[in-house]
Amino acid sequence: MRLLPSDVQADELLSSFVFRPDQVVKRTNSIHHSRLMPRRRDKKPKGRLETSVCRSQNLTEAQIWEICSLFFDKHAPKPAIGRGVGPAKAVFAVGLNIEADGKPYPEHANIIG
Amino acid sequence: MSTAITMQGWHLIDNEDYEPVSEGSRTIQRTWEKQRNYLSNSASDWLPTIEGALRSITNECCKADWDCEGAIPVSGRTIDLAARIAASLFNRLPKGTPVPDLIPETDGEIGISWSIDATRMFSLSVGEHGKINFAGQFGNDGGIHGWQPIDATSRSALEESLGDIVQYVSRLYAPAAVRRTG
Repeated sequence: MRLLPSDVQADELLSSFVFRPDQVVKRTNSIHHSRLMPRRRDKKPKGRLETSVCRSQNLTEAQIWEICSLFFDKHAPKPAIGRGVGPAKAVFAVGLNIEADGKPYPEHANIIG
Repeated sequence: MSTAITMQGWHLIDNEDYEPVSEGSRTIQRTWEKQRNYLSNSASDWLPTIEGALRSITNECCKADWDCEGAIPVSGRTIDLAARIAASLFNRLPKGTPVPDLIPETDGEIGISWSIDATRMFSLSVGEHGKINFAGQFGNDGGIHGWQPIDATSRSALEESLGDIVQYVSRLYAPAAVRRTG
């Protein structure tokens, strides 16, 4: 079992999987900010603004893409073409929070709006 | 409604196994590869990219939950408005301004954005609500964010209401003064 601190640390690296080419900004080799924008969920807690990220700091590439296959590709319209990687502090810097819920896999977390 | 935000420090790691599947994705991929490192100069440079991006959004993002994470569908009205705004901006921006990226957003809006590097970018969001949300970073010159109403009742009214946006995008690509040497 992979152990993680319960609170996401500012320097911790997070990953967000992308499946659309237009979610990638080629000029800056980054993902578009809209991929990280929390959206209103219709499940409990209903109405909360959130979006999924993977706490990828301590994972190997193989482990990250395995998580992608098991928990992202199966639900997305197309398989992921890449992942955006960045520090949690970039999320905190724009006034958003991160909640590590560990579901459906231990490294799962939500950016909360 | 979304507020355009930027997050610095996020970069892309490709999935090496990926190959574009749909024709729309292939078109966008080819166009991006062509336009990656040059500034376009004529109307014909913007239009294929804009049309290709909007076609892809129309085909793939018009149904609820198009991202399987609860995304709101992008309506035909929003797509039409985004096309008109892109055309108006092209008419008013200085020649040589690169074609923007058009991105479907999960709240049913379309993002139109220009990126130079991690600290210089401008992005606006278009929806059915008759206003534009925008955010920009201009390197060491600071940033801006806000919203403004737009008047889409006619082409001239739309172009006029986009005046501030034109200034922000122009500021992003303002020519730098270089001291003559030698």
